[in-house]
Amino acid sequence: MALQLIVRRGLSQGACAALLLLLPSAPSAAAELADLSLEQLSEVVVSSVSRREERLDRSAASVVVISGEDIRRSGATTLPEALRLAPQLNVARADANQYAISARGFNNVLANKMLVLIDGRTLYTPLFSGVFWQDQDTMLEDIDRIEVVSGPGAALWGTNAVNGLIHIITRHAARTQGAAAFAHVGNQQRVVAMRFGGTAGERTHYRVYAKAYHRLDTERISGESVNDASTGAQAGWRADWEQGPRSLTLQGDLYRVETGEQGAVRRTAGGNLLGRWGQAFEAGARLTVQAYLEHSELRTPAFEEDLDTLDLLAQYDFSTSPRNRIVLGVGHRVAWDDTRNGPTLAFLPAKRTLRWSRLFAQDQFTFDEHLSLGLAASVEHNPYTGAEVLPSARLSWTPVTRRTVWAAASRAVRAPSRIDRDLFAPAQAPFQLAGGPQFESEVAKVLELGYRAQPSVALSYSVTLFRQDYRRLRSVVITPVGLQFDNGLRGTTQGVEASMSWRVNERWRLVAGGTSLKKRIELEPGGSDVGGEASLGNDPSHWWSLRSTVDLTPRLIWDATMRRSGRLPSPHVPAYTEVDMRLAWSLTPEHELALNLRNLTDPHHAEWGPAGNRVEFGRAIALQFRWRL
Amino acid sequence: MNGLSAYSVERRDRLRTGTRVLLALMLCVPAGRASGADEEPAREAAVKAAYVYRLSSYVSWPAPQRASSGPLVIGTLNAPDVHDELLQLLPGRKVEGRDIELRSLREDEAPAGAHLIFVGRGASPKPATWQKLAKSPGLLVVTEQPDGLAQGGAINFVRVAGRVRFEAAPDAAERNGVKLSARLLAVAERVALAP
Repeated sequence: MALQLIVRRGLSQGACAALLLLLPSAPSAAAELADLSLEQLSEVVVSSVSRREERLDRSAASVVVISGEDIRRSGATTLPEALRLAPQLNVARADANQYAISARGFNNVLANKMLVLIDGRTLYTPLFSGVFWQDQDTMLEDIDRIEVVSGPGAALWGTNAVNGLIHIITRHAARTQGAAAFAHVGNQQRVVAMRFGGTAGERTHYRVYAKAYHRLDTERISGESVNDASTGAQAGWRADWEQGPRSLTLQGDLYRVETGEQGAVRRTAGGNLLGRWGQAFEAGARLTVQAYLEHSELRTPAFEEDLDTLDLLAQYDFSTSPRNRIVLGVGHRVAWDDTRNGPTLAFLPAKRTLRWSRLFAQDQFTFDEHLSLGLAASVEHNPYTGAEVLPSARLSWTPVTRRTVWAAASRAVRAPSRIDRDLFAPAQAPFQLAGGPQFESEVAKVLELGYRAQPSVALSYSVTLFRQDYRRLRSVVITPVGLQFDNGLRGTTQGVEASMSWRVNERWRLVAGGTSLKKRIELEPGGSDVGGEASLGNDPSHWWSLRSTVDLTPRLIWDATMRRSGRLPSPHVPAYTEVDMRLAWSLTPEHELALNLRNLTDPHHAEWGPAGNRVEFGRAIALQFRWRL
Repeated sequence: MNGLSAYSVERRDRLRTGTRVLLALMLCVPAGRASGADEEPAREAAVKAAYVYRLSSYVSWPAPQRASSGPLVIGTLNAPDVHDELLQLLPGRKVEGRDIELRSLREDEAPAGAHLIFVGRGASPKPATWQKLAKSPGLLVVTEQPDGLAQGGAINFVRVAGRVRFEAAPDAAERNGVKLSARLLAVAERVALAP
């Protein structure tokens, strides 16, 4: 079962494109500024003193920032649904709990070319280098922003950031003071969440939260239940302490999830503890040291896993001159992976200690007010292929204020994971499929060209062209002991990502974005493949969305989203268009009641999976109540 | 061979489509504006003036002030730069349908009738003045002083990483009967709770 999942579902994600950046720029006239929201005003740069902080509207990368406010207005109750707000991400829902999420193709419920973090902690399983989205959660009300970068981030973030980086950043505890509660009651799920924030002494702020949810079974087109109902609970806390140039953040979470999977139950539980120390020095230098511990338990009918992870990171940012900013860093991660294998599937050795070490550096050189060059590189040592070098060069040219042209060239790799090397299915020979003892890293060389502009305070847009050339992609070959993974495929993805945000007037904003993607996979010279291509993603050639947010009155807001996904080629999933709406009424400044309607125009549609076996999502209706004190 | 030429055709079509999309995106926005309007960075006083105007939409005044149909009165105290920016910004603007009146106040002047007072960094009010401000029903006190909240301000502007942010003391506002909305507090850099 798991094997079929691994081999069949995979896939690809597609790409790239469009983005929407709403970056508050620096309009100089008070009259223009007066049209900005409080959130936007708080991002207006008023001094070039902050040169060392890269401004988003000048960054040489395809970046979209999803604000906490955008998430709250979308009515999203899960991280994957919130990620639909980033137009360069292809988000396909497979069932009540599982999602395929990727940028620039290769999308799959086991997508393995994205790096995802929450507050600096990697949400990554060494089993397949990807994310079990059904296990990842946080208090959505307390998210400050989600930064989504499509394209490689490997030079600073290490292996796996091949197609993109998703960083979920929660608010400083000082910004979540007081009590808050959220409830969602609908025909597909129920959620309740609570948070309390307070102070301890003069310099320490903290918050604690707890949430629980229940998702109902989804159905196939025949009306037959998929038996994928799930129940989850999570609690966590964060404390921030500051004294002058020193700061300390401590945070942690505990969770437990039970998911139905085709008649059986998949159980996961775990927790994490993270500490981050920051110290600022003269001339803008800054030292950050971070450590976290994480434990997770996975229980499926096919196998079980206990995983403990320790991750350490130190980073020093400093300037050698006002024009030259340098970042140096070192990181080390250890994972103690303990699997208990069943007859159908085994990871061998069952117990394995994995270590990754990396050094990284970046030099951002500003030639003048128009031209800036960033050179960065990571050297990362992984337990399977040894050292990998991950360089990037990014040039940005701002000929006129708020118009930036940028270009980037990068090399990124996806290092082997346990699935690629240590998998045996069934557990005894002869194997239907096994990890390849010689499986090497997949490599991508990426070229990007982007243009970003904010011609007026009300309008901003961004366009990125990209080409990613992949070598040594995972294939499946026939060997005397059965089928094995190999590096027999290569391919390219290329396309356009675009996004636009237009504040039509003080009350009405339109945000649009989309991606066009072409993917081509072929055999490496001398390579062979008997089915590996199927796990390299099932990507639409395009997807786009249009979102309208209207403040009808100071108390009544109406948001609507239309999104379109092209058809998936193999297995075929028809193209679909979804229209969602949300009407929210502020009973008082502290209380909000909202009606959420999803999939208004379509009685049902599928987003993932082969015909007959896949889930069809029908209309969803929910009431949401939000209370803040 | 066939496959190859089919691929070339496909690639050509793809390039054409890509070029069209790009052109369409670039053409759909107005070309540049006069360069003089694009100075940056923004003036700090202009950002503060914009905040002062926008803040009014995120607070609720006590019933007497709310019921009044008269203008919303914003006073400035020793803040000529922000006052000048407000003069440029306010014409034609309203807050929830109400006109806005701008006054420049002197320290010895009672802020009678004002809904919001902005105490500039040039001001060094006497303790008695702070006390008077902190006990004026229906008045929101906004400051730009290093210890603005400790002095009795409800909102104080601070500079963080080259940006203007604000810290908020909901209890101080509440003493004058003014309620800061949750959305305002969510944006605040720091929320000070009552000692």
